[in-house]
Amino acid sequence: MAFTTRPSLISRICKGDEISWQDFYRTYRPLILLRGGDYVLREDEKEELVQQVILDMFKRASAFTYDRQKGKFRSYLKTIINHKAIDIKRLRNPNMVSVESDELSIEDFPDLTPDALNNSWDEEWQMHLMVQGLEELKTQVEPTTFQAFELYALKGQTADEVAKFLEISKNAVFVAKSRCVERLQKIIRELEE
Amino acid sequence: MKHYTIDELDAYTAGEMNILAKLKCTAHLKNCQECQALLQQSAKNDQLVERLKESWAKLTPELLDSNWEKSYARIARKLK
Repeated sequence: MAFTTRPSLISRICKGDEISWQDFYRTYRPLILLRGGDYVLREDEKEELVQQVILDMFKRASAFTYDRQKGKFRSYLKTIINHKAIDIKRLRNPNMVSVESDELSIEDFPDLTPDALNNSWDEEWQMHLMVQGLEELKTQVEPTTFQAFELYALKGQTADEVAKFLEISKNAVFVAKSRCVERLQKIIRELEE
Repeated sequence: MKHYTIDELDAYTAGEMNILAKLKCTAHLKNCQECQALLQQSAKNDQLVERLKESWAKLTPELLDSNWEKSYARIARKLK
């Protein structure tokens, strides 16, 4: 995956670049699906939520300018997901179909609690950053370095096992870990901006 | 005095040093603030790795199994 900080990705989708939309879809789909779970949506509704959010972004893209000062993309995305998820839940409930979705909020749905939704969003966003960071790290370091880091730090193999498997020294495994962590911290800082 | 690198301190905390090297490192750490700070950094790095592991574990195949072409076609239909 090409490295795209959100501002550059958003700029490119605003220009209608289909590859960037695909990148956007792949980048944010897992996050939106997880979020759909927080709104107690069914599997088919979660997929619908992904499409509704992308569709909304499509429609707004030409008029949207990313401005860091005006609020983070994170909040922007959270709001869109919230509106679309409530729309989907509204359509599920016959008593609410006639109600405008703008008039509804989380409080209108007894199965949702605002605090829990806020907390889970923070956790999911952190997960999103971690996963994106890891994807980017893969493109920035040598394949062996990444593999050593992945096997040792993430998959829990011993340094001896990794060194033997990759035919590198045990010290090289530790070097790979510290280099990858250092690089990852920088990547995540950039993603958070 | 030779200071330890973060890689060596990672090996120390992971229990991957031989007993003699471990004893020397422990003794050094008692008197070296610079290496103590680096050891703390190593612990922070491990916290990040733990968060990474948790995030990675949440990514089920269903979450990653994206079909852009299919979704793109549906979105395009809705746009019309």
